[in-house]
Amino acid sequence: MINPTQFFYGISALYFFYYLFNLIFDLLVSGSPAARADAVLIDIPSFAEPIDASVIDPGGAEPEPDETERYLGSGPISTSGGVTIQEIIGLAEGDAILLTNQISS
Amino acid sequence: MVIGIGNAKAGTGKSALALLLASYLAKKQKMSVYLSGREDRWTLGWLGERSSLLEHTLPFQYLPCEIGLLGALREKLGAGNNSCMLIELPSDLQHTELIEAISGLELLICPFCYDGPTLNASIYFASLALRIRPSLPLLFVPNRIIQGASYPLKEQADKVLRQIGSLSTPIPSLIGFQRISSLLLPAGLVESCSATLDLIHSQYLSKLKNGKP
Repeated sequence: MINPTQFFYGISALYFFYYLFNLIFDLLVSGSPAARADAVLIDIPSFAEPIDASVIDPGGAEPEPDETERYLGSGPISTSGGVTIQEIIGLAEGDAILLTNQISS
Repeated sequence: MVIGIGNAKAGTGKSALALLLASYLAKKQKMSVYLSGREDRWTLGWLGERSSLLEHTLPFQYLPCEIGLLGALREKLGAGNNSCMLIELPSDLQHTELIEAISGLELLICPFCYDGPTLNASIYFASLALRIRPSLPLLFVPNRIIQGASYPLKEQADKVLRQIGSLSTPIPSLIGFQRISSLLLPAGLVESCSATLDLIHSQYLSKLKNGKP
């Protein structure tokens, strides 16, 4: 017959070895990062990398910008050709009406 | 190649078709497939969370991304001959970024059903895509087709859809689609739809791979 203290020590030892086994098992089985080497890592914030201002020489003579750079010097500009999404939606609605009219519902 | 899957109406089977196609191309055609959709709690996002919790090893890579960053993601992945990027486009058409997303596509697949509201939405979405990029090849995929059922609008609808794009054979209505609970599809489900997927691959995607849209 065991008393409560012995029972407590027994249970504690059992749990200790159980968790120790789990830890060792995870370390051995989970595998190294090399196992997932074929995965492409996408780092969204790296799309817009910061400019290192320290490498820009403030004293150097700036080359004369050409005609387009003088006005559009803030980087590549993506444009829809002067048409807004609302205008395109309006035109598409007109096309869709012409097509759906051919289906009698 | 970059393929978009979209429709102006939610619930037409965009996510299921994207998932089917991604699994099929990765497993059967041995392609490197990147599946991208919205980051928030849309179908693919929810399934992606489940797969990541369950530590599934997927045959393709799932890259959730905001629509405005799709162009950057496309550049980052590069355009390999044996790689395919599948993008699930949002049903909400008020995004200005949709113009850029559709402009960068090589093929737009539009899943639809033969009911009035879905047909109207599909034609509207296709018209919008063609207004953004008139040369964009379109492929309409009839979805959830029950064998033996009659579809009164089918004949007229097929005729109209062929005026603006191509029409594939249908994806059947299968109970397995209602049981999808992660990005890892049961092999049997892909197999059940392999006739249509084989046709889509041989008729449209292999031409894109060879540079002949």
